[in-house]
Formats: sequence, structure tokens, C-alpha cells
Amino acid sequence: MTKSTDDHGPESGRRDFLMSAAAGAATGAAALVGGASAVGAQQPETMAQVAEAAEPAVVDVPAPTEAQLAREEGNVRPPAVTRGAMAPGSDLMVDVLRELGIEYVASNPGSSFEGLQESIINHGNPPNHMPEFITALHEMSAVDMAHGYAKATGKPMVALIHGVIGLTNATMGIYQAYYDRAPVVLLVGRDNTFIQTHTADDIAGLVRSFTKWDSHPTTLQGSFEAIHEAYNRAMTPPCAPTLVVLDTELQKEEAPGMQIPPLPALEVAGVGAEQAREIARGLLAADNPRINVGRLRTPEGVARAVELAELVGACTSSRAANGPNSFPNRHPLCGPGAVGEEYDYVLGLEAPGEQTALLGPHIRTVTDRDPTRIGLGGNRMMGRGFVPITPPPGENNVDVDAEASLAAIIEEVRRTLTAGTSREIEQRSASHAEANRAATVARVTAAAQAKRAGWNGSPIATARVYAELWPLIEDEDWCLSSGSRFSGAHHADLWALDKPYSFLGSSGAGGIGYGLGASVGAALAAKERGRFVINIQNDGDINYCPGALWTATHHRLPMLTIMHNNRAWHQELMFVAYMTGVRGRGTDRGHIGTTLRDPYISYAKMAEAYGMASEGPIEDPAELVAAYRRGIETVKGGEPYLIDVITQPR
Amino acid sequence: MKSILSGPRAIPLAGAIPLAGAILVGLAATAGAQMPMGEITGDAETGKQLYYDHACYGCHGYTGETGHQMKLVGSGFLLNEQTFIIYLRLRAEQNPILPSETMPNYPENALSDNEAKDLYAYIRTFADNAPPLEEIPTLNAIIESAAEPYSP
Ligand code: HEC
Ligand SMILES: Cc1ncc(C[n+]2csc(CCOP(=O)(O)OP(=O)(O)O)c2C)c(N)n1
Ligand SMILES: [Mg+2]
Repeated sequence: MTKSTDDHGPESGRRDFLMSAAAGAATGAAALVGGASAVGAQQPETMAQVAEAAEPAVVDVPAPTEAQLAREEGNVRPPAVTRGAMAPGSDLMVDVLRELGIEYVASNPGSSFEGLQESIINHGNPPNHMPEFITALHEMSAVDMAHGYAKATGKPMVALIHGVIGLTNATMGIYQAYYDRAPVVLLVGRDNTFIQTHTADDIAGLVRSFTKWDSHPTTLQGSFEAIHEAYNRAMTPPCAPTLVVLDTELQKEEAPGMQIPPLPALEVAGVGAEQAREIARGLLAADNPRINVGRLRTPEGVARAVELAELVGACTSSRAANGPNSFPNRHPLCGPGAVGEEYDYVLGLEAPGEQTALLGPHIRTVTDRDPTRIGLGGNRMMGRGFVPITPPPGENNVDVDAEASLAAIIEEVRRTLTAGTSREIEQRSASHAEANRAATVARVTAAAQAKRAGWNGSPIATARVYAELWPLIEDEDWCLSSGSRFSGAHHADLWALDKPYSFLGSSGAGGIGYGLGASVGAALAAKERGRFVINIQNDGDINYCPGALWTATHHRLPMLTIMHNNRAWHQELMFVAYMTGVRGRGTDRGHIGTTLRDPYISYAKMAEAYGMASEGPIEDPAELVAAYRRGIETVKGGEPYLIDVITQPR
Repeated sequence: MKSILSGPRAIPLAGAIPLAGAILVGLAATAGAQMPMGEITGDAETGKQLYYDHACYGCHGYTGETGHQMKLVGSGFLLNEQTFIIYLRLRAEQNPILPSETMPNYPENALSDNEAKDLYAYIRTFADNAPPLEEIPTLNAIIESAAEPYSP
């Protein structure tokens, strides 16, 4: 902020005074001191009055210097002191992040990174841009944001976290991002001298079991290299969170003239030339090839998979209903195809495939990074495409990243494609398209029949919550951000999921509290890309870190939140209800500790408290569409909106 | 103490249950639309409160239409008050190690026969309220959009 310079009456009066004093000095007359004390008795109000009163006085002092006069122009502070840090190390850390294309740093403030925070908000032109500081109200929210952003874009943003105490708050978010194979860069401040309870020798050890790599550099140059490596390792499959501890001394170190090192290339290994040739040959020689598509790493991988399927006329499968970066599920080649299920060449891309399955490396570093014996290793069935980590014998699995393999396969196909095969492929593709369209219509019609159940009921059926949205969003660019299982996952049956970011999938490890933060992260991605986010938000989930609502408001994020408000941690209510039945001594108390009754929580007011436009609770399903329209208009205008909807439990 | 996890995953609680279960399964199979539903002696209003208090709504929806939908017609378990009460009493013969969200057991000391009859009266008020597909423009729009050419 620049200070107003309009109000300079007294200042100019004093300037006049100095000028006349100078003139007086030239004539060598009586002391200013005497004149000043004479007017002192009259209690002058302003310096102008002083000047006036002293007018005839003759002054015996040297003329003011140019510098003195200049200072009198407006700068009344003492002479400027050269500031301590002219080129703080943290400025260069910001340069590194900028060069990596990091758009956002989500953070809750902490003194262990005050140096870096100051650099983010002040260094660069424009400051606080690339990366922009995103204010989080809880460290788990910050990590969830980075997690949602990573799935929406295929690349990391940064979560900047306070040593020890901030990191312990962040743990569940990190754990879930790890399980969900989300590339996230965690920067953790460390101040070894200020507050002893906020530091540790090995801060990263707190989360070593569920981060892929960490580093605690001891030099400034080392910190730049560590950030580079953290980025590249997070982005190298298996994608996962990585962590760099940044000592406050490095952030504040003077580094005039220091250069940041060049960006190391990110190289992900794909199939070799011979394998690419073999796969291309298989696809082209087949009468009915098929490509099964699981979850690829980035949107770019999806574009390549579409290119390959179209080139060879293969029908495909998709996991788009389960998460991001899979094959567009209404693409004409997506479905069973025209010829029947006897495929003579099946290629799996992060999915099983009879002839070849390209399955990127899973989290294998885990055993030696599991000091707390969480035992992540035993759970690796959770891998990409839900394929087991140890492939069943006989399957032709190739342990390389599918996305990184596609360019070579495509090139090989293009090189060997003949005009004759092209014509065949064209015809086959056309009949696949027709068959798949019919299959889609049949599937959606059957789903629509089933979703009529409880259509006019109140509380509102979850199917209707999703169904009523579709006609309003089908021509818009949107992203369904939070997990959908508890609200019925009706998008899977009713909506087209044709963008890599149409649906971002679930939390990764089933930890509740992820949905809102991840939606804010998805909305950060959406904001710069002209989309909006739809967050169908479970009520239990929102109550872990509701402060992320404020982040959405504060940063003007296009996030439409629609509550699946069943006034319960309903999953647990069902479990406890069953348990009371087993024990058979009171089946009417299952609501204790599982429901959010007495009082009901008002989510419209919760949103309002955080400054977000909102409405509800809506109990009449006939009111949904009008509310949705208001919500969509608001988010398209660049502001978040929340609609509280009272829903059936499931 | 022997770990419960080292034994079988489920622990049988009552031996007589398989027979009663078999009878019930038989009932469920033979009951059909043609069989007349039994008499109602309970109070549906009281039953509505019990349906809420005993968490039936949690798995069957507030009107039996959502979640695990209840088939009024064709379900032997809902044929009459007696089949309903037997069904409630003989459910959870297993002590599960894994959490479950299937139909719980409702023994008499937790839900009396009279309460069960009230519940039954309430459940019998349930109807299939879903409009036919033709009368739901939203769902028809969704079907139409599935037929549209691909435009990502
Ligand atoms: C924890 C979830 C849960 C709760 C609570 C629950 N049910 Fe069920 N119920 C089910 C499931 C699942 C089924 C379907 C099949 C099965 O498991 O036998 C079912 C089946 C039924 C059936 C048979 C329906 C048919 O179509 O044949 C009736 C009747 C029934 N429940 C009534 C009740 C009543 C009354 C209550 C409350 C006193 C209740 N349920 C509570 C889960 C539940
Ligand atoms: C951090 C965390 N705490 C507790 C649980 C146990 N849990 C599993 S489901 C669930 C309830 C979720 O409630 P809500 O998000 O409202 O969804 P609903 O089941 O009501 O649709 C809870 C508490 C969990 N998974 N994660
Ligand atoms: Mg809930």
C-alpha cells in the first residue's frame, strides 16, 4: 500500500520555514532558538504557524543540505538502514518452485518457515504468484488440497508445513495421498532454536512410513537440489508424497549472486523398442484387439491412450467411474465393442491384459521406509487398477509405466500401418462405435429405471441429488471432486465421464475428512483452467476440517458444494446397529455416537460463517433444480456456493 | 486368552437356527403376489417411531424405497405378523468378526412382539411411490444424452 500524499499542508509549511531560515542565515542574524522559544509560549498548532511566527527571526545556522531538504519533502523517518537480507536463500527457493511450475503453496502459517513465507508473498514480479500462498486453516486441509490438485492436474503443488506440530496434524492427509499415488511435495520448516517443542532431529521420521522419499539438506545449494529431487521423485511412478525439511537458517541465509541449479530432466522409463514393436504388431495383427485402461498418471497419458485406441480401432475399458486419468467412458470405442468378447489381443494399460499388461511400478520402497511398522507392504493389492502387486504366474505383465510407453507404441503403429489395415480399422471402429453407443444407452436406461426409487421422497434420494445435476452440467466443464461411495456413486451410472478429471475418486485410505480439502485443491486447479468443481459432500466428512470452506471463499474458488446430509456417520450407524442386534440387549441406542442429531448442524449457516454464499436445508426434491441453478451461476462467476440437502441415509 | 481372530471368522450362537432359517427361506421362496397378506393388529404411527428408533430407516430408507429396498409384495418375510416376527428374531445367529451392514437381529427383549406388530403395521403402509420413467423428464434427458454423439 502506498501512503496518501495529499495531506502535506504542515510539511510544506515547514519546508517554507526551512527555506526562509536559510535565507536568514545568509544575512547572519539572531538565533533561531530565541525566536522559537518566543513562539513556544503561544502554543502553535502547526508547523506552518511556527513558520509564520518565526518569520522575522534571523537564524545563525548553516543552510540545510539538499539531503535534509529532500527528507523534509516527505520522508520523516530516520535515514534508511540497509536491510539485513538483500538476497535471502528463501527467495531462491521460491525461484526453484517457480521454475518447477508450482502454482500453489497451501499452508497454515508457522514461524519455522517465516523466511520462505515472506519470499513467497514478496519475491518476484508479480509477487505471490507462481506460487501463490493459499491459506489453509488446518495442515490436513493443506495436504488434502495438494492431493485433490494432483489428481485434477497430474502434477504436484506444495504443502508447506510447520515443523513437528504442523506435520503431526498433516499426517492423515499424507497417508492418504501416499495410498492414492498422488504426487505431492511437502516442505517442512524446522527451527532448531526458537521453540524446542516444535523441532526434532529427524522431523521427516514422523511420516517416513508413508512418504516416498525425504531429505534434510544442510546447505542452501543442497536445498534447491532437494526440492528438485522431491519434485521428480513425486512425479516418477509410483507417484507419492515426498518431503524436504528446510532449516530456518537456510531460508534466511544471505545468498547474493548465488544461482539456482538447472532443472534435472524427469525421465520415466517405458517399454523398450523391441517390446513396443511386439505390442504394435499384436494390436495391428488382431481382428478384435482390446485395450484395458486403468488409472494413468496424467491427462497427457489419457490423450495418448485415446490416440492409440483410435489408431488401431480397439475397443477399451475404463476406470473413469472410479477415479481420474482413465479412458473417457463415452468415447465411441469404450465398451464391449461390436464383435463380442473374444478379443484376440488384449493390452492392459495400468490394468490387466491377457497378452500384455503394462503396470507401472508400485510402492516398493515401502518396507524399508516403514519404521513404525504400519505394515503398508501387506496392503499392496490397492495398487493401480487393483491388480495384485505380485502378478499371477502366466500373465504377461511388464513392470513399466504405461503412460511413458505409449509414445513408442504409437510411433511403431504409425510406422507399420498399411493402407489396407487402415481401411479395416476404420470399418471396425465404426461398428464398435455403433455397438458401444447402443450398450451405453441400454445401460443408462436400466440405471434410470432403478434410480426412480424414492424419486419424490423426503429426505431426498441420493440418486436424485446426482440425476438433477446432469442436465445442468452436461454442457459445462466440471470436475466431481470428492469420494462418492457413501452418496451412492450415481455419477458412475448416469453421467458421462469423459475428461481425465471428470471424477477424482476416493480418499485413498478411507480416512474421512478428505473430501472438502481435496475439493478445494481441485477448485484451485479448476480456477485457472475455466472449470468448476462439484463437491458432493458427506456431513461427517465436512466436520473434520470445515475451515477449508473459508479457504474456498477467501481465494474465490469455483466450488459448488452439495451436502449429502444424512445427519450421521451413517456407515458407522449401520455397523453399530448390526452389532446391537448381535448382542441383543438394546437395538434402539445404535444412534449414540453415530448420528449428528440434537442439535442438527446447519451447513448453510456453517458456510455463511466462513463467508460463503449458501442455502438450505432443502428437504423437498422439487426445490433442488432451482438451487442448483443458483449454485452453478455463482461458481461460474468465480465464487463458491453451498447447498445443504437433507438426504436418505444411503 | 485365545485370540478370537485365530478361530473361525464367525462364532455360532444358537444351534436351532438352521432349521428355523430353512423354514424362513422356504417361506420366502413360496410366497408370491398371489398369496394374501396377513392381518394388521399393530399401530402404524407407533411403528413409524420404532422404525426410526431401531435404525430400520438406516438401511431401508425412511420409506423402504432406498438403500436395501423392501419388497412388500412377494417377500415371504412380510407375509404376516408371524413370519415378520420370526424373521426379526432369527437373524444374527453369527457373531461377526468383520463389521456388517446386513439385517440385524432383533430379539424380544430389545423389541417386543407388540412393538414388532406396530412396526409391521408401519411397513405395510409402504408403497412403491416411484413415478413411471416417462413421467420423469430428468431421467429421460439423461438417457437422451447417453445417445448423443461423443463430444468430450
Ligand atoms: C444394518 C442394516 C439394516 C438394518 C438396521 C435393518 N435392516 Fe432389514 N435388511 C437389511 C438387509 C441388508 C436386508 C436384505 C437381506 C438380508 O440380509 O437378509 C434386510 C432385509 C429386511 C427384510 C426382508 C425384506 C424383503 O424384501 O424380503 C425386512 C422385512 C427387514 N429387513 C426389516 C427391517 C426392520 C423392521 C428393521 C428395523 C427393526 C430393519 N430391517 C433394520 C439391512 C438392515
Ligand atoms: C478419520 C476417520 N475417522 C473415522 C473413520 C470411521 N468411519 C468410516 S465411515 C464413517 C462415517 C462417515 O460419515 P459421512 O462422511 O457423513 O458419510 P455417511 O456414511 O454418513 O454417508 C466413519 C466415521 C474413518 N474412516 N476415518
Ligand atoms: Mg453422513
